[in-house]
Amino acid sequence: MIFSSIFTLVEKDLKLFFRSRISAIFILVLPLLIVILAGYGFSSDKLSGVNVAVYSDSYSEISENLILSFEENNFSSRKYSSLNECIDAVKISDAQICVLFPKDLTSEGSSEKVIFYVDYSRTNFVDTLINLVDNKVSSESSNLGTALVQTLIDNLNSVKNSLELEREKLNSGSGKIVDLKNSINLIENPVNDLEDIISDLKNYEDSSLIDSEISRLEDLSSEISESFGSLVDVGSQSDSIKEELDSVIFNLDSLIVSLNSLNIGNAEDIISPIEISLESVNGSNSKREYIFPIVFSLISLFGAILISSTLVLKNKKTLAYFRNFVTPTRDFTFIFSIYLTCLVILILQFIFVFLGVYFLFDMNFFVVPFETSVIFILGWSVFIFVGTFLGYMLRSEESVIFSSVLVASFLMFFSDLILPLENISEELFKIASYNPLVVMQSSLKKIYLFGLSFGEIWVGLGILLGFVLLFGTLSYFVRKATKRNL
Amino acid sequence: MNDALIEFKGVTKSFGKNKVLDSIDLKIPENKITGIIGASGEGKSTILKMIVSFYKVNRGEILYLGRNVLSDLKNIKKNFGIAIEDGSFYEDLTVRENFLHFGKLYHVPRKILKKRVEGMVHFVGLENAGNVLAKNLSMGMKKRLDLACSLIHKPKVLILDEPTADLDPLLRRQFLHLIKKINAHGTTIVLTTQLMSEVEEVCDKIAILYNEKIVEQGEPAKIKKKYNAKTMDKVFEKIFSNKRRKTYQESKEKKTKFILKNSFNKKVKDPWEILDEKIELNKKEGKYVNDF
Repeated sequence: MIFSSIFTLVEKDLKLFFRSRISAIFILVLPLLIVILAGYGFSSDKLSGVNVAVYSDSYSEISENLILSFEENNFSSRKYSSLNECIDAVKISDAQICVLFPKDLTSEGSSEKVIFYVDYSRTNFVDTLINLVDNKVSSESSNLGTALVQTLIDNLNSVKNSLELEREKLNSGSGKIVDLKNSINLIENPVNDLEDIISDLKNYEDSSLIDSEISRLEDLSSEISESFGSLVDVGSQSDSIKEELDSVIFNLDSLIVSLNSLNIGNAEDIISPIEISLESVNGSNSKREYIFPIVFSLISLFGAILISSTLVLKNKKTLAYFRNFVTPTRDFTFIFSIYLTCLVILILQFIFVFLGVYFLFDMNFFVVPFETSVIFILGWSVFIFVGTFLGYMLRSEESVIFSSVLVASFLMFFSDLILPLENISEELFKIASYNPLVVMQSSLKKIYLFGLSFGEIWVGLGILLGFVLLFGTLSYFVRKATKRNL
Repeated sequence: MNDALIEFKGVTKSFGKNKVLDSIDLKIPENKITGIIGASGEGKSTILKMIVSFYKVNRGEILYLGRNVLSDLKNIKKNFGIAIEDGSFYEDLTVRENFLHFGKLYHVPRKILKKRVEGMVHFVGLENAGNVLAKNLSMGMKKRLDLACSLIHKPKVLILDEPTADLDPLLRRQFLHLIKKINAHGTTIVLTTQLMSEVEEVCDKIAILYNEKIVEQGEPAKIKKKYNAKTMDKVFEKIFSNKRRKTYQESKEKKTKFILKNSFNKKVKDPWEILDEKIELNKKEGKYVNDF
C-alpha cells in the first residue's frame, strides 16, 4: 500500500516535472554545461590573464629583468608613471597586482624592499598570485646571490689550491733539512777514523817525522772537530726548524681538510641548501581531476536543496494539495516520495554529467562504482532533506528560494571552496569539518583521487548518514506541524 | 442508536484571536443531502474542512458513526470525498491522469480503477475531455472534474463547498441534477451554498449559520412553516432581521451602559440604525431592498 502510494506520488511529480520540457531540459543539462566549462577552464595548470602593474622611481637592470621574467610566465606587465597609478590599476581591475621596485635595486641588494600591492578582496586568488610573483622575484634574487656566492667559492678554491702547492714546498724543505742533518752525522765517522790514525801513529818509536805529521793531523783533527761541533749545532737547530715546519704543514693540512670537507662546488648549494620538489600524492597534476569532486559536490548541494525545496513548495501551493491531504496518505509517504523524486532527477542530472565527463575528458568517475554511488546518494540525501525541511518550514516562494540559496551558500562558505578551512578559527574549523559539503567533497576525493576504501572514509559516511536521519526526521515533524497552515 | 451519521458537539473554532465558530451543535443524517447556509465569511467552509480534519477543532468534537473523526483518521478519510470551492486537482495533469492519481492514493485496486475512471469520465460528462490538461478546461468542466475526483473512491459521504458557485444557470441545473443522482446511489451529501433556491431544490436538511453559531437546523419545509414563510428567502429575511434587531438592541444597551459609565455625552449613531433608516426610506420609495 505504502509503496504504491509512494510510487504514485513520484510518478505524478516526475510527470509534472517533464511536462514542462524546457525547464526539465534546463535542470538536467545545465549541470553538464557547468562541468564542461569547468573541465575546459581548468585544463591548464598555469594562471592566465594576469596583469602585473609595476612602478619604480628608476628601473635598474635587475628590475627590468624581473619584469621580463613576469612576461616569460605568461603574465603581462605594464609600467605606470606613479605609485598611485599603479595601485589604482589594481583597484579598477586593470591589473591584479602592483609591484613597487626600489630605485637602487642592484646585484648588491637594496636598502628598500620590493613591495606588492594586492586586492585582498580576491581572497581565493591573492595568495596564489603573491606566491607566483614572489617566486619570480625570489628566483631572480636567488640568481643574483648565486653569482656572488659562486665568486666566493671560486676564490676559496683558488686559495685551497695555492695552499696545497705551498704545502708541497714546505714538505720538500723539511725533507732537505733531514738530509742535511744526516749528512752532518756522516761527517762524524771520518773524524773518528782520523783520531784513530793519530792514536796509531803515536804508538810508533822514533818517529820525529811522524810526530810532526801527527801534530799536523792533530791540528787538522781539532779543526775538523771544531767544524763538526759547529755543524752539530746547525744540525740541532735544524730539528727545531723542522718541528716548526711540521707544525705549519699540520695546520695547512687541517685547513685543506676543512676546505675539502665543505665540498661546495655549486653556489646554488649555498643559496638553496634544501631543494624542494612538489609531487602529487596520486601522481597527477591535472587541475581538472581535483576540480571535479568540488564541482560535483557543488552541483549536488545547490541542485538537491533547490529542487527539493521548490518541489515541496509546488506541492504545497498546488490546487491538489487539499485533495492529497484528505486521501489516506501518510506524512512519511509524502516526504519519501519527494525524496525519491529528487533522487531520480539528480541521478538523471548526473548521468548526463558523468557521460559528458567520460566522453569529453576521458575521465571515469566510477572506477569504484559502489563506493562512489554510496557517497553521492548519501550526500544528495542530506541536501534533499535540508531542502525538504526548508520547503515545509517556509510558506512563500521567495522565502523558500532565498533561504535555500542562503543555506547552500552558507555550507559553501564554510568549506574549502572560497578559503582553505585552515584559515578560519580553530572552533569554527572543528564545526566546519562536519559540514556535509566538506564531508561529501573529501570523501569523493579520497575515493576517486586517492583510491581509499570504505574503511578509511567510514567516519565521513557516518556523518552524512547522521545528517540524513536528522533532516529527514526534522522534515517529518515540520510537515506534521505545518500541513494545515498553508 | 445514533440517528446522525456525522455529529458536531459543541464545536468551537478560532484562527488566532478570530473566533469563527462558537459551540456548534449539528447533526448530519445518513443518505440525505444537508445544506449549510450562511453569508460569506460565516465559516461554512471551515465546518466542511473540519469534518475531514483539515482544520482541528479548538473545543468540542466531531463524530462519525459515533467515533471522533481524529481518532480513526485513515478510515474516515477513505469514506469521505470532498470538493472545495476553488477545486483541488492537478492543472498540469489530464482529466484521466487526475482520476488515476487520486484513485491510486485512495488505494482503489488497479483493475477496478481503470474501469472506474472511464465510468467517471462518462458520469460527469467529460468524455471528450479525458485527455485534456485540466488547466485547459472550462469552469463548468473543472467543477465536474473536481466532483469526479472526490467520487473516484466511492465515498460514503460527499462534501461539497459551494458546488454551483461561478456556474451559469444551465450548468448549475445540470450540477444539481448530478448531486441528486449521486445521492440517489446512497451517498450522504453535505454542501454549502448561498443560493436559497438550491437549498429548497436539493436539500433534505438545512443548517443556518449566523454570527458564529447555527441558528436554525431542520427540514426546509418545517423551517418555512416555523417562520410562516413561502420561500427560504423569506425565512432568511426574518431570521436575519430578528437577529440583527436583537444584536442592535444588545449593542445599544451595551453602548448606553458605556456612555453612562464613561459620562460620554456625545452620542455616535449606530451603523445598524443608519441601515434600518435607509431600508425604511427605500421601502417608502418602492425600491427593492435585499436587507440581509
